[in-house]
Amino acid sequence: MALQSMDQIISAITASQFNRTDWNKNALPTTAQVAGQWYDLSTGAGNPFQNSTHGSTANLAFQALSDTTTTTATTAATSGSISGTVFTDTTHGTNRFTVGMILTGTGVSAGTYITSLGTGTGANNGGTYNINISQSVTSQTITGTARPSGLYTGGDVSPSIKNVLNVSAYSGATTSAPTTLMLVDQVAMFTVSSVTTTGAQSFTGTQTLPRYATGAGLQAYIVPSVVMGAGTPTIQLGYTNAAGVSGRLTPSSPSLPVATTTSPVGSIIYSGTGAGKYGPFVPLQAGDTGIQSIQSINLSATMTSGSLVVILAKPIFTLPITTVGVASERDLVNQLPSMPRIFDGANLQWLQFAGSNTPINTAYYGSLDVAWG
Amino acid sequence: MAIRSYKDLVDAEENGQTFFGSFRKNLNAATGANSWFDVTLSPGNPLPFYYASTPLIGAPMGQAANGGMPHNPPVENLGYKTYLKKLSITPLNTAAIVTGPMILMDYLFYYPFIDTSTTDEQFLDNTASLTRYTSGQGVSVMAVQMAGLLGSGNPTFQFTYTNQNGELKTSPRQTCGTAIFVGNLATANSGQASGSASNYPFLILCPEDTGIRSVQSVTFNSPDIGLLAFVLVKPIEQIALREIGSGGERTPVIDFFDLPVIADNAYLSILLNSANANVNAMPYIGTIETVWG
Repeated sequence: MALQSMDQIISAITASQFNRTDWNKNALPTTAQVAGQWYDLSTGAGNPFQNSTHGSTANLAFQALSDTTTTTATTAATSGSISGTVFTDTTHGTNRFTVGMILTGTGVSAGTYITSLGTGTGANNGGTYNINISQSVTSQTITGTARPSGLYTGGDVSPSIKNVLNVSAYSGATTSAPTTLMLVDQVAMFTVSSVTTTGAQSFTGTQTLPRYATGAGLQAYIVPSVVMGAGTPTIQLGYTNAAGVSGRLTPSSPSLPVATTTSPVGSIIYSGTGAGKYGPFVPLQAGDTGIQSIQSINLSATMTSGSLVVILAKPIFTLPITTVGVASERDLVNQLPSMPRIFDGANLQWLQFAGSNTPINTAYYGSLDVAWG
Repeated sequence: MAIRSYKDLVDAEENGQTFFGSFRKNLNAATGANSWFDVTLSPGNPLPFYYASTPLIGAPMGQAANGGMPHNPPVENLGYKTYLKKLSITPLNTAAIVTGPMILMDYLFYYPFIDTSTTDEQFLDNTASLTRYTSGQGVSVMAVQMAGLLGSGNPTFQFTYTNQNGELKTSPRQTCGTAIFVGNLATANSGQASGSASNYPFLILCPEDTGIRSVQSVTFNSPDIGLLAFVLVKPIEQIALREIGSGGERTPVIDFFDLPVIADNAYLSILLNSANANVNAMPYIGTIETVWG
């Protein structure tokens, strides 16, 4: 089944095989965006809720991502407590706590979530995290649950096929334009908390992709889940391409991607202008059209501190906002005929290219219409 | 029956299954730039609706009882659905004009006179319930300023609600902006909050929630003097004014390839964002055409 004519699209829409989503995402909450760099808006505030999966898993482990994925982090037994609006991970248990995680445990108020990092970096003993609800919880095991909170597009529709019909985006905030938004389907991720280790580090786990199984069209990008330190190493991924050829490497010519010092959460660390800067994706070896799996990451020097996430994603479409206060719209049926497909389980998130220095919390609003048949 | 093709659309037109209406609004409000503003409270034709009824008691909204932008009478009892055929908006004044999106929405339900000056939990009466989009799927909630609030110190609040699956949830913390005027959305105006920013038109729901069925209570963490109405809405279509001095047109099936359904008895009104300051005394006129089949 598929939408194969204008009449079929009309029929699908009027038969309620259609979904409209209104979305809003805000730029980084603590650090202004720099012109020329790319950012992952998924961890920003807004609707839908912020993505809290980035960096939530064990170091170097593969994690598939879908719209219903959940990952968890825990304190050690009886080693978590809350006083006021501060959660303390006295002795850490498993995985890593992240901003946006919902906290549960005996006596923990419903709806409690981490709003920002205190001294906690995800897994350090004694680390503190700021939460949204003031309360008092005595020592116990506290669990954090992360969800990707991607754009909702009507749920699974198989055996029907879902396509994007149109999209819009807007910002009226000063210096919010020009900018380009890119919708991506985040398919998998690897937490890299060992950022002071130099040389190749191997990823672990069986890499079965939930969508785009061959890796065709999939690309990788890297963002911090905890603000990075002062290092500026080059970065090289070792991967298997979409044809199943292993041993592929990020090309070193003209230059390997170079990390930007003290990159904030959500910034694509090697994006920007000048030598060694790319974006949003890590360049592929000549002739490759996608990534089926990633075997390793190699940092040429320590990044001093922080934590990274390597994300495998499928770009769906781009949408430029040319002017502050001017709504941008794309009709992907008539104007730019493409009707990109959205697979069941898609974890849809926005990447953004900042065309100008953009203030913290700059708000973007838009809508996304899909239909299936 | 339903419209399944271009031919069905043409047939519906030839059979007279169409409606043409016009409207005029005068946005008599001072706002800051980049504010979301609910024109429901603005004078003109249709008459303004002030969300003024018994405090904290939820009330449904509908065309028959409350008005709103014109559209055709109910047709679902005939086996038809109504669709938005065309929407056009033309501003009249180039001095204080809007550029930005305007969202046509079905206003479903409201809770009036939520007091922003108290930190007590305010419980809302849900004796009445949604009469359209009854599960709440795709329904959003916005906080419309009815009076007073200036947003000093960026007041914050949370609310409990029932999501689209009937589950009771406690919302994430919402942050009000500053310099809020009547008709502004309290969490979505020019005075962006520090920390967790505002300027999303709709209140933020919990992860995985895709709609809201009802609101049970509201609690302000930090107060300010003022009154809010919580309004449940279903966005239908947007239209953009891109340039000072020019109007906007939308023929959904031709230039944006969708065909939004307008439910019987829908209360239609517009939420807009202005990139310009002071949306005061900006009149606009518009037309709306619907088709059913």
